[in-house]
Amino acid sequence: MNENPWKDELLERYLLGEFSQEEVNEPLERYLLGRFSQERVDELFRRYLLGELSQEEVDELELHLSMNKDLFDLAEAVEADLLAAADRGELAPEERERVLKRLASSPQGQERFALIRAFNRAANEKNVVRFPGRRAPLAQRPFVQGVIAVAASLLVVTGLLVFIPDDQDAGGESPIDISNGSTPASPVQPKVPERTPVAAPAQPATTPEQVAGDKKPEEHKEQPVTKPAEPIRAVLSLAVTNFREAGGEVDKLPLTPDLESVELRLDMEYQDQSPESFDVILRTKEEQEPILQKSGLKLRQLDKETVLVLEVPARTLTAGTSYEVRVQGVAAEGATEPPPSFAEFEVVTGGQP
Amino acid sequence: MKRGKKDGNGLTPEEFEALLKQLHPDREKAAERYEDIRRRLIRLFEWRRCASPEDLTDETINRAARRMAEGVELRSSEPYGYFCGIAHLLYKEDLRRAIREQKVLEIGEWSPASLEVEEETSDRRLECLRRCLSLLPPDQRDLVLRYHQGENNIRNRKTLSEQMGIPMNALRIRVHRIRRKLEDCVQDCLKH
Repeated sequence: MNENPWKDELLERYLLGEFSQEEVNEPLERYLLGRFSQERVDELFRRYLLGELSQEEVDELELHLSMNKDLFDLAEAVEADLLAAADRGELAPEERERVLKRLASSPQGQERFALIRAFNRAANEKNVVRFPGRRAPLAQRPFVQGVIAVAASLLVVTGLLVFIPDDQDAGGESPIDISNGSTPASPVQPKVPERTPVAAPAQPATTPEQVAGDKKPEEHKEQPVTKPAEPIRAVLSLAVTNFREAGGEVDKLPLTPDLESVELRLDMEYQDQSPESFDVILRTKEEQEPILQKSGLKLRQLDKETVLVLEVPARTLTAGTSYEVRVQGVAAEGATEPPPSFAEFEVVTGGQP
Repeated sequence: MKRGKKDGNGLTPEEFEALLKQLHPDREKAAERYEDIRRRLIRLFEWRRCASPEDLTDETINRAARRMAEGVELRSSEPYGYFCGIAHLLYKEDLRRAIREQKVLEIGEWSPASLEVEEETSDRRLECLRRCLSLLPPDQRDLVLRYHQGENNIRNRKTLSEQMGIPMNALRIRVHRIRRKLEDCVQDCLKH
């Protein structure tokens, strides 16, 4: 692969799809890693949208926009943010005029601006919006923590295990892991191990969810079993995108000594879901050292999300290290291999947010 | 599905079929891809300040379809790149033509007054938006509203992304995709 694939002489080859996806992605990622911190995105797209980039820079950026849907959507999102800021009076008068002239002077632009204004109006009609997002991990909710504490004492005394199911209750529609309170929630969902429902005898419902009067009590039955307590697991939900979010904040996984395994839930909502299976590699972000590789993973529906689930032994992870998950759809015979997508997270020592 | 035509120089049925076939073997999925590509091309021409983004987009698609009918095969899984390359060349042609004709590419004279939407239309749009918001799942509705909420919006979004545990850019993309669904819904609502 040529060092600079974006030169004109290679354009036709690229456009005809003669580069493998790996070839295309590698320089793309280098490009993104070098440029797309939060500040860089704002600056680059602002200058692009306001016509302040050189022709060469525009050509280069547009090639990337042509390949990467996330990046294209990000450009549109930045445009909408500029228009929203112009409407709210957050820009200096000169900047505001430049934004409106450039982005809201065509009929389509005017319509877009009118809609953004409507969004701003609708959003500020009432100042407090309920924000459920993805509910706080079950085990992190205050009332549940109390119940868990009691249950934990019981475990010590009686050796019973309280079964706490996944957070599949009615309030958990969103893929966003966030507490209902003002404290930032960790995306990590610690939980005690799941039991096989078939093996568990039916018992009167006394789980935290039922104590709290939540819906679907039948899904949250306490399942006392006679086996000893199993190792602690955590669930970490990660958004999968077509590019790496260099410079942005990444999800953090607190590593505690008693944590034995981590369930990585890779949110595939915005990814190509047509492949029948996926190959997933977990590797360190810096050295690209493979930690775990699984082939043939299938999409699953969990908490109303379409996800891939990767089980990772906690001992394979090191605190203070950033990890990357590479997801590759396996194309049907004869079909074109879809581009890979990525998620990342950082392991921190337990107790850190 | 719209069929791109410019100056009566539209596609033959064979060219149109070749286009669809290369976009996806399933016609419905091909139609979805077509609409997505068309929408993105229009945006690209708009960002380049072209006077007729839709015409240029249709011409781009027509040229791509003709080449496909001639036997060009796309091997990339993301066909938009191919269209984008043609759009890039077409833009340069358009620019040269405009320069030859000594046209100014700026889209007319802009005045702030042209942005003053009539109150009635504005209210109708807001009403439509409220209706469309009510059709969204609650978490999506709240997310998009919260994203647009507040006086110190930048700090507001930063807090939001921290609470959600996702990078700011991922938040922006997520909100934008919800907003796009709403835009379609509002446009439909305004037509009725």
